[in-house]
Amino acid sequence: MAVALSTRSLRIDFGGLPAVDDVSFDVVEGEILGLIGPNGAGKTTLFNLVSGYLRPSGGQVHLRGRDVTGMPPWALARLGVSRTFQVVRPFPRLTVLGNVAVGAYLHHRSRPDAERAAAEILRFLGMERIAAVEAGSLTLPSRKRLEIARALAVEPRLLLLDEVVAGLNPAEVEEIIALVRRIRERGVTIVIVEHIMRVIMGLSDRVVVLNYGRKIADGSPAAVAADPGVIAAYLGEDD
Amino acid sequence: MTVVTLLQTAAGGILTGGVYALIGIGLSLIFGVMRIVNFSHGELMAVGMYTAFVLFRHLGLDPYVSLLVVVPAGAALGVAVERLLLAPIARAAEHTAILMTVGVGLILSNGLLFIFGAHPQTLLASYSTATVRLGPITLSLPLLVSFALTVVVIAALYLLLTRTDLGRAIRATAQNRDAAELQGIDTGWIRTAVFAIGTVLAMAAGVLLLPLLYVFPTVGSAFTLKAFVVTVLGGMGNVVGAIFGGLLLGLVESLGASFGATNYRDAIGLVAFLLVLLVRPAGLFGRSRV
Amino acid sequence: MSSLGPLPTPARIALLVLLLAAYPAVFPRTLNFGFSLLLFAAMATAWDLVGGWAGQLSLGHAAFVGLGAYVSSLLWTRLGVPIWWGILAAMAGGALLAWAWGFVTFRLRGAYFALSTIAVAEVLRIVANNWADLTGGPEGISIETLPAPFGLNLFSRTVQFYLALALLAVSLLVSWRVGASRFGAWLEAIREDEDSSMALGVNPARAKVLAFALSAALTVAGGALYAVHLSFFEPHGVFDLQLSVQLVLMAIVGGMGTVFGPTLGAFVLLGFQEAFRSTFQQASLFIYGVIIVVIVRWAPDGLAGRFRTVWRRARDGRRALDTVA
Repeated sequence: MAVALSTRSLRIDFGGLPAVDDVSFDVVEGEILGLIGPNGAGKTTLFNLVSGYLRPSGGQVHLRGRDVTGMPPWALARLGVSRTFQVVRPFPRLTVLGNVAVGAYLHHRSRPDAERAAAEILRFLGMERIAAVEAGSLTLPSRKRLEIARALAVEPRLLLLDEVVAGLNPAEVEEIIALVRRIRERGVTIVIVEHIMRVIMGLSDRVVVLNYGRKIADGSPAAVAADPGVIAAYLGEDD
Repeated sequence: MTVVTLLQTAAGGILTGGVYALIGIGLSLIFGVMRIVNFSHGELMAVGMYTAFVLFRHLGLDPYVSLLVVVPAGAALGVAVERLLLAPIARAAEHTAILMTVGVGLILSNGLLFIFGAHPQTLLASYSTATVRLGPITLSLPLLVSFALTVVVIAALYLLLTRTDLGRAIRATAQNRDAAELQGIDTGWIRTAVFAIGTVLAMAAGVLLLPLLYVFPTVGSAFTLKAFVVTVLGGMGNVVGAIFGGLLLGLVESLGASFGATNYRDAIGLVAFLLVLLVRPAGLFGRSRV
Repeated sequence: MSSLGPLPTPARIALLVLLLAAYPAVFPRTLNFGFSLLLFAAMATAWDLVGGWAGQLSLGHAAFVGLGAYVSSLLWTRLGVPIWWGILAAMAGGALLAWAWGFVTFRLRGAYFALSTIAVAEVLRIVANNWADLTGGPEGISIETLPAPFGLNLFSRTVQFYLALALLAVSLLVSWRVGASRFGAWLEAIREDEDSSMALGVNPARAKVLAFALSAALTVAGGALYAVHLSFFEPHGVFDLQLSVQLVLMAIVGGMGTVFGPTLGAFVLLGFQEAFRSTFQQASLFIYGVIIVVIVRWAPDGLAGRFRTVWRRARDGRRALDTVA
C-alpha cells in the first residue's frame, strides 16, 4: 500500500508550549482518514503544518516518500497537496469561475485552458449555474462548495478538508458527504477534520485522534470509538 | 565631543523620545485593536498643536493647561471620525482603511493650511528658553515638563488598560474580536473608544511638543512617519514596545544629528525604519507565515 | 471580467490611441495640458499594476518619477549619455530598486509596504535636496540641450506629446496583457486573499515583486519624459508626496484593477484641475483628501467600477445567468 503522506514526530511550539507534540501517522494512498479530537486539540494546527502554513519546530513530513518538511504552501500545491480553510475565504470580487480558475492556472498556463478546467470542476460539483456570480454574494452552502471547488482546481492527489460541513443543515451535510466520496473515487486521498461524529465515522476508512496536541489513537472508526482513552478525552470537555 | 555633551545630547534625545513614544503608543493601540494603520496620526498631532496654539494666542492659556481642553476635544474628534468614516468600512479590504486615513490626513493638514497659512509659527511662553541643571548637564525645562507629563499620561493609560472594565474589553477585542463579541463586548464601541484614545494621545503629544517646535500645517506628515518608526521598532500593536521604540528613536536621532549633518536628521529615522523592516520586521511573529 | 462592450480590449486601446493622436491637430494650443493628460494617465496605469491589480498601496511612487527624472537627466548633462539610453538605464535601475525593496517588504503585511513607500520617496527627496554635488541640491537640474534622434526636436511640444502617447499605449498594453494572463489572475487572488491564494500555488512575494518592478520601470520612463518636458526641475517637484497621491487618486477615481480606469481617472482629475485652475491650485490636496474619503466611503470601485456594476445589472436583467460552455 503506497503511503500518500507521513509525519514523524511532528512538533510545533507556541511561546514554549507545544501545540502539536510528537505526532506521527501515515495516510495511505486512496483512503479517507478522519482527524478528530476535542476543541483545541491541535487539528487545524496540524493541517497548517502539513500544508506549509506553519514551519514545524521539530519532526518531519513526507509526501509519497519525499521530504517536504518546511516547504511553503505554493510548493506543496505544486506537489499535489491542497486544502480548504475552516473559515471559508473566497476571493470576494472574483466570480465563482474566476475563483476556481486561480487554482486551475497552476496546471494550465493559458486563460482559456484554465477557465475550461475550472468549468469542468464546477460541473462536477453542480455549480455551473452560478459560475458568473460574484463570490462575495454567495450563501454559506455555496461558499463551502466553492471552497472545495477551488481546492480541487489544483488537481491534488492529497486533499485536506477542514470542517467542510460546519454550519450546514442535515440535507446539505449529506450532499457534502456524497461529494467527498465522489472525490475519493477520482483517486484523491483525503484527510478530513470534522466535529460531527457520524460524518467522520461514516466517511473514514481510518481515524486518528488528537488530544492536547498528541496522538492518542489511530485505527478503524469502530476501534477508535471504543477506545477508553478517546472516550475519556471527549468526556473531559464541555459539550 | 566631550562626555558631558554626549550625555546632554543623549538625555535630550531620551526626553524627546518620550514624547515620540506617546505618539507611537496611540498608533500601536489603534493597530492592535482595529488592525488599521492610521496614516493621519501625525495630522491629528498637528491639530492638537494648533488647538493649543490658538488657545494660547487668543486666551492666554498656557499649553500645559490647555490639555484640559484638548483631551475632550480630541476624544470628540476621534469618535466622529471613527463613527462616520471608519466603522462603515471596517469589514472591507486592508488597503481601504489605509486610503481612508490618508484622505483624512490630507483634509486635516490642508484644512490647517487654509486656516493658518503656511508660515511656521512658534509659541513663546515665559519658560520657553528656561533650563534646568542636573549635575553637569543642562536640560531644557519645557522638555523636562513635557517628558514628565508624558510619563503621567502613559501611566494613566496603563491603569486604564489593566484596571478598568474598559481596558479589559479593549484587550479582549485586540486579542480576538469574535471571541470578545461572544463574551458580550460591543466591539464596535470599543473600536470607537480606542480610536478616540489614540486621537487624544496624538493631540496631547502635539500640545506637549508645542513649546519645543515650530508649528506649521505639514508638520504632521513627518510625525506620522516618526510614529510608524516607533511602532515598527516596538512591534506593531505592542504598546509597551512603542515606549522603547520612542526612546530609541529619540536617542538615535539626537546622537545621529550631532555626529552627522542636521539636514539628514529626518532621514535618519526613515533609514532606521527601513533597516528594521529588513532585519526584524515584526518581532513577535517568528515562525508563522500566516 | 474584462470587456464592457463588444469590442475586445486591444482594439479599444488602438481606438483610443488613434483618437488621441489627432489631439495636436485639433487643440494645437493646449499641448502642455495634453501632454500632462497622457503622461499622468500612463503613470497612473503603471501604478495600478501594483496598486489595483495586486492590491499593494504604493504611496511613494514619486520615488520612481524622481529617479527617472534625475538619472536620465544627470547621465545626459554630466556624461553626455543620450536620453534614450539614459531612460533605459534609469528603468533598469528603477526595476532593480523595486526588486530589492519589494523583496524586503512584501514578506510583510500590506501596511508595511505602504509605509516603506512613503519612507523611500522621502529619503530620496532629502538626499536629492542635500547632496548638491551630485544632484544640484535644492536648485535642481536644468536641461539646456537635448540630443536630436532622427532629427526630432525633443523640446517640441508635439514630439513630447507623441512620446507620452507612446508611453500610454505601452502602459495600456501591459495592463491588458497582465489582466488577461495567469500572472494577473494570481495578482488579483493575492489582492483578494493572500493567505488562501498560497494554497492554490501562488507565491505572493514573487508575484508582488514582479508587478512592482514592472510598475517601477514604466513610472521611471514617465519620470524621464517629465524631466524632458519640464527641462528644469527640483527635488520638491518630482519626489513630492502630492505627485504620489495624484497617481493613487487617479486610479481610485477611475477604477483600480481595470485597464482603462486609471486613464479615465487621470482625464477626469486633470480636467477638473484645469477647469477650476485658480481655486484648485490652492486647495488641490484638500480636495484630493475629500475625494479620497468620499470615494472610499461610497464608491470604492471608482467610476469604472460604478459603470461596470450598472452595466452588469442591466445585462443580467435582460437574460438569465447562462451556463458556461
